[in-house]
Amino acid sequence: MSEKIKEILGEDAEVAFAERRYALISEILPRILKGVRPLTRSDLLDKALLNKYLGIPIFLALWWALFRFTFDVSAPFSDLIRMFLSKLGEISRVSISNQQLASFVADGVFGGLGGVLGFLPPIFFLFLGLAVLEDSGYLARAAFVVDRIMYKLGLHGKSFIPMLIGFGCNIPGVMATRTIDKEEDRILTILVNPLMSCSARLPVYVLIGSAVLGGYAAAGIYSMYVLGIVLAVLMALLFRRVIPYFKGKPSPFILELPMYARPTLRGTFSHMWERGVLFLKKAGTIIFLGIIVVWFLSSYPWEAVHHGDNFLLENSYLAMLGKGIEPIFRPLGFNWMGAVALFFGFIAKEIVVGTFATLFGLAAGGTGEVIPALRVSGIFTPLTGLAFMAFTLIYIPCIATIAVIHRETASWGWTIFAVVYGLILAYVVALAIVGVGGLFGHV
Amino acid sequence: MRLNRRNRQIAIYAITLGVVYVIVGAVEFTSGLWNLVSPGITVSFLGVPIDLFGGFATLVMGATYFGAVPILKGKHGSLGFVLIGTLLSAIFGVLYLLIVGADGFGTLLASWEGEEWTWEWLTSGSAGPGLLRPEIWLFFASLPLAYFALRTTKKERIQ
Repeated sequence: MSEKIKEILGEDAEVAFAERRYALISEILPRILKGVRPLTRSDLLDKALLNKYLGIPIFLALWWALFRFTFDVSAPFSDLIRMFLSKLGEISRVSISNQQLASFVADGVFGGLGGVLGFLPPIFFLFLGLAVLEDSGYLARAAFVVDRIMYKLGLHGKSFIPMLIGFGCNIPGVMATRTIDKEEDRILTILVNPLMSCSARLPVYVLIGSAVLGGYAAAGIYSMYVLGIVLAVLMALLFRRVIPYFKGKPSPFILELPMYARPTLRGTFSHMWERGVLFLKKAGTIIFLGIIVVWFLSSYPWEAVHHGDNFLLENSYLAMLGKGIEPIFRPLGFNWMGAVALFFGFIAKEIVVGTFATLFGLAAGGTGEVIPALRVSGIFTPLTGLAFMAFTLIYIPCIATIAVIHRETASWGWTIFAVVYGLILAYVVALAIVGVGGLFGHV
Repeated sequence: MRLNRRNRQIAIYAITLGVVYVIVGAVEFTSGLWNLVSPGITVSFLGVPIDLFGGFATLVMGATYFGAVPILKGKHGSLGFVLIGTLLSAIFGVLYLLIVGADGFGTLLASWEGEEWTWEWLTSGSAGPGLLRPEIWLFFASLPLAYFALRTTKKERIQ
């Protein structure tokens, strides 16, 4: 039907209908209303927020405010959770007589899972900020503003909403591409959606940023989000130019802007809770299982790893696995611990943090705080830490996202392509960060 | 006539604030950029924090206030720039205050863990110079502007 209309009218059906509708409205209005229509406050706000030159800078400034709020304001709440779980770990270590069970509860449960739960506040703060932007009616304006650039670079304007959802979680982000009518535009949006930095990556950024970037931690985290958007746009442009399937212009984007509204406390907090609770559920299931696997591999063979009071992590199954894949990551400056954390991050990104928390908790012989432990370990410099953050951002987010990509594209070809290009791009970008940073004298 | 005079005053105040924001933002941004390309050499002017992205945001606020210039030519629709400028001032002012508060809370937690309590978080921490951060004071300076801009856009019919 849509194709038939397009054939008759010579333009996209959606555009044609919208143009006729607004032409009719403009025809009727002057007959009913006399004089010049006064500008509403909404019109006044749009003059600035949708401004050709200031629209995007204002969007970036607001985004920066959101990340400072997420990172800096939530920090003491994270500390509070970590302190509490650390105490629980110490108590369980003292009160459980069985050494293996005590290690499991203290290092695996309170150390590993606790290390992940400590990042609950930034995730909730991020969703709180996003809920305010969404409920106020600003996000629709942001889509409108960004569409100008996205269209020129080959992405459909409707791609912005799935990409924005991708900041929360890539799974609903990929699923939200169903609103895009043209199949080529939809597949293209699915392929670049994993580059949107989902909330699962945030704990990794906060961990590495806090441990090695010092006063630049917030800037480092913000850079990852900007890098994700830039790479998504660049990859879309590249795919449209190189892959024949995507050749041609994206279909036009029509968006009716909602009125501005004052976000209500109840609405904002319920939106935050709905999204944040998903992280909690994930922490209790897949992350917990992943961390148990990491704890097992890092604690066994028991006799080889535990020599009296000495803990020989180097003898663990995890070290064997890590050392096996370490040569691949050596040019990026990651040691076997970083390599193994990325390996398990394939299941879910939060496990990267859980892996470090378990490893450092075990090595310290107590449920220590993972951030200072990582800083002291010296396994990352600021530059390799930034490269590690970029690698975490770019390579496929988690197994569940891969499954959804397969379901939505109904193609193993596109699914494998998404995984492979993500890995290659992650490696290239991380290598570039280390190389270029080195040229400027950074370490 | 009254609307014109009041809007003129609003525009002049907004442009003045814009100039200050641009100066502060430019210093923050350039020192941040300098520190990025020349690691190890820390350059800070007049106590203004070194903050690449924060400086960019402050520059954007200044540029938004400059959008009030057409009001001087009678184009009252540009009051939208004043509204957004004051909104951004409020967002960043409150944000930096929250960051200072969070630093204080962090210091309190550290003191529970046995570290010595200090008041340093008030003047140095995650927000740079703490309460001395220029954006916090500029936020207070923008409050009268926000009040008058809101009152004007609520009562008058802008055309």
